Amino acid sequence: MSVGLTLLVVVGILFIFGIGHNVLDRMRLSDKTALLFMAGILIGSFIPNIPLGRRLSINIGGAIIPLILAIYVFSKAGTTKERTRSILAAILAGIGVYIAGKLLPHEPEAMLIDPNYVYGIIAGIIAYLFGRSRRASFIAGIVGVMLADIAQGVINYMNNLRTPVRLGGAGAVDAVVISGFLAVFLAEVIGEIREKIQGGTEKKHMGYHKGEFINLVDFDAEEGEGEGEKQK
Amino acid sequence: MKVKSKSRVKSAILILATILFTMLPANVSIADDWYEDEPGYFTLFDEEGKELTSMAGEMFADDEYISSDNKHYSVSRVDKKGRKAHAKYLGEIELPEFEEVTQLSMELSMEALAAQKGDRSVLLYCTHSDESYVPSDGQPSIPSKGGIYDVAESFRNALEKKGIKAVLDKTSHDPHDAGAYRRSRQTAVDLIRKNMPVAAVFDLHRDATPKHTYETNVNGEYMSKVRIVIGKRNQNRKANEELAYRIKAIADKAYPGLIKDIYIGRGEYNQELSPRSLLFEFGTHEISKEAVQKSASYMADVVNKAIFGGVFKSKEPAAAPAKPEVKQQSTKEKSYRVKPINQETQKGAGRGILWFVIIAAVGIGIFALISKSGNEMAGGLGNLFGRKKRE
Repeated sequence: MSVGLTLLVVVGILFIFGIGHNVLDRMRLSDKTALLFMAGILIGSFIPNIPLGRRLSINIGGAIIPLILAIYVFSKAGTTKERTRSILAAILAGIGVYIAGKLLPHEPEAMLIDPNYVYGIIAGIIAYLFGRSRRASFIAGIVGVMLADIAQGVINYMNNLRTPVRLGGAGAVDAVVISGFLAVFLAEVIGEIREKIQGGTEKKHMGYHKGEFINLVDFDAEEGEGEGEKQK
Repeated sequence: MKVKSKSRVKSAILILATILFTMLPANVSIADDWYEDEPGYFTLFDEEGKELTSMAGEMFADDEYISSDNKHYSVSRVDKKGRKAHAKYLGEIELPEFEEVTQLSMELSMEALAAQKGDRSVLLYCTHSDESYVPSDGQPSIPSKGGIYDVAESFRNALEKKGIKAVLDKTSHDPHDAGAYRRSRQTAVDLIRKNMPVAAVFDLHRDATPKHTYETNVNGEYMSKVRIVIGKRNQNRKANEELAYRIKAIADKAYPGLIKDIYIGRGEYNQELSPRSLLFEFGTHEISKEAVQKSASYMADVVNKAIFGGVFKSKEPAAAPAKPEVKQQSTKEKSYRVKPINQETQKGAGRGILWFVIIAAVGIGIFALISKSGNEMAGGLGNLFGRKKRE
């Protein structure tokens, strides 16, 4: 079992035991949905790639399911601003991953962080700096690596290189999946450290209610009015 | 107040980003810059300044090196500009010993072992699909069609002749840049997915050091040496090391001079994907492809015995002559039996996964501490063990 698969199983077990729920809450995911997606990624990884063209294919576990999850998370984004930021972060992460592929040394021993994780870290940092949320980070982590792969495919085609583009071809251990999870993890760590430094969240008026973050001040006022009406 | 905290946040993010980027190497190199006029390889010296080896990839402190005569070194310091590294001697590596057998028991073991091969496959791919041999291919790099594929085919054919289900994936991973290993990872996963159960996975490369560093004579034939590279960064290291030691132990007895050495580097080289994954450097860009193809067939025999077991013959110096005036040293042929690798390897891989789970658990624990307050943690643990919160 590879590190990636072991990590996916460990994270799955943690979700079952209720650890990491705050991350899921922020991504508007229930435990069951998250586990379902993770099982999908794992099972989908064992299914051969689906051909999309002569040198283009896609893996169910490594790209299709993560992409569905990214679209789902995108659809749950609260505001247009967050959606725009997510798209921008994904494009920038894609550019960052592509440039990193060109500039970093080509031998893995020359990189302190292994190539499989360096893209996730790059996508994660860019995504968090520009997306500023766990959701945007996840979307950027997943879509960014895929965009970089597609860009490389176009350049390969132009240079007459026979290298195929296999989106998420390594399944659960592909850079696409690793980047998505790593980006959320980074966003969570940076976000939490940031809150610890400043002594609590900047959005104290916000709270989690029925799968959505809402303005507690407005909510309390509305509830108060409602209760008042009932009493009448 | 809010402005202050915002600037603090920005500085925290900046510091974190700076730390992460400084972890990346300072000398940014573009693909295939090995072939410049100046020597693009690193040379390793021992503490007395004696040259030990050279390698096209970068050397780093704490890399390990096992020489042809089984001396174990650890890289202590690296002069990046001068492309030199110095290593500390750690002692001698004990390679596995094999049971000496007679002619009769040898035939019996051959029959017993023939049945054990089963359908376990040996998987081959080439991360750097452009790597080529100048004397035969005309240039060191031919994108997507490197001479390394001809060597890989020779190796595959020789393995098949031994009755092994050998699969070679000729997918191109070019350009030869930092993304090559990410792309070859997809090939390795695809190979494993389609060819389970897997006996071993080999990524075939060629080095870029001077010709003389790889030239050798085995059984009186001119050919190329083979270097084994192991990645330190993965949970299969013990299992991979075990196979590498078996290969070296068998080759040192059966075909002395075939295995150049073992380099244990900082990379991961996709070796986390399956136990018994190794990287072979089949010669260098300056040696002829034909010389390398010859060593590929010898390697197939060694790999076959190292994984599936078998019997091999070794010419060893006979006992000291009775008459001291007889100067000519005679050799005696001995036969050895190798058991299949199975059981020990599984143990190695299991230990690796256990360590990984422990490290992951500690990491996640630290993460939980950062992301939750003390009370939340206590509450969460209470819920985990079934204690109900007091109202």
